[in-house]
Amino acid sequence: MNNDELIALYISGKLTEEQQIEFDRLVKNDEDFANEVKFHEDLKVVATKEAHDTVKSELITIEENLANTKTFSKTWLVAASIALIATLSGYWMFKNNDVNHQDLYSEYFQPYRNVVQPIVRGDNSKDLKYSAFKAYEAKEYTVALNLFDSLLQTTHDASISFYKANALMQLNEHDKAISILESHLDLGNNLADKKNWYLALAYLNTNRPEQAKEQLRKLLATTSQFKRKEAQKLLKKIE
Amino acid sequence: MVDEQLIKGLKNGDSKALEIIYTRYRKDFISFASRYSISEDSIVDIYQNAIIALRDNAIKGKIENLKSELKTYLFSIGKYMIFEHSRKQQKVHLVEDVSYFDIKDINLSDLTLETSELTEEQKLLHNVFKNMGGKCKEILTLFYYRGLDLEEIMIKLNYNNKDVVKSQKSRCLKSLRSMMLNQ
Repeated sequence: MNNDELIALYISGKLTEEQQIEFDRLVKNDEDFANEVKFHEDLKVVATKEAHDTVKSELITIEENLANTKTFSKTWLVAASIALIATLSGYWMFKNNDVNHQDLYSEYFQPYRNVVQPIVRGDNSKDLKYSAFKAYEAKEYTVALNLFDSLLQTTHDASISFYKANALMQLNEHDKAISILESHLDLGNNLADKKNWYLALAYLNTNRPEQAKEQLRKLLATTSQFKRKEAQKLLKKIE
Repeated sequence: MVDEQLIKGLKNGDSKALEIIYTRYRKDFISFASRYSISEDSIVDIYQNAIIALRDNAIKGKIENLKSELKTYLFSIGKYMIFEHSRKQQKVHLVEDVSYFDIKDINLSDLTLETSELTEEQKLLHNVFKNMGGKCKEILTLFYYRGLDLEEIMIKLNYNNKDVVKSQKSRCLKSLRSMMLNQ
């Protein structure tokens, strides 16, 4: 029996007592083997998470279709907003002179808060929107991403794309986020300045400081107060 | 559909069975849960997680010979999750007798959903995994999530040779690893 087969049996929970002893011995004494085991264990966790996320999206859809009898309380929304504002204000405290782009990114990145009001539950698209933003606020970004995608099949609302990009960034899919933000989203006055900010951060994360600077300068050239201080500080740190 | 069929449906990934179960007990669960001071949103969220845990247990073959009713079993999971939720919110000091949950078919580990936060490494892996091609995702899900061995996967996917499954699986793992490196 080779090591791969041994690990496969371990993952399926089908090691005999004798094989288990051999397995434990290898984990203890062979670092490569132990690393390999960890990879497969991680994959088990990840496959489970993905299966759960998929069912969760299915259940959310079922729940939407039952919408006739319910009205959701909005207390959670208020609570979540307060928590977010508190977190955002906390960001002013941060100071760091390191010019590592990844570190800067982690210091400054925070997904944009939900300003799209989930309104009274009515037609299906509104309900989907409600769930999408609910998942977004609950930091369930994978679920949110799926729901944003469903939404975008029927609507071309640029603000949905903007939030999708935010979810993608949170999920470490910066290239995809960049291509959304770079496409000429017609975001209107409310979100256009935010687009510059998030694009700058996404460029920073993918190690494109020049492009990041360009976006920050664009943001600072507007009259927008959004992240103005942070943008100034960040620009200084990259330069 | 009777409980047995529903459990079988859940196990086989039948969406209809999932929907029937979800809809059948939803109202009762909400009224049952509303005696605890939790918002309706949280209750629905917990109910969904309880259904997911139920499905997990069906998939793992833990509830094939259920002695209690499906509803009782589902509510035990839900109730446990409500207590966990309240405990985390620190609204409730639990002094409840564990025997309260003591229906014959259930272990503590069956009551929870293992959705603890992924590590950074697992997050990266998750990103790659969910974007994999359908066939690979299917095989790896059968193996790693459902816990099927190669022979069982062969039967499930109508292959006629175990070695085909084996080499398909190792190709998928290889491409997963190379996608990880290109992250």
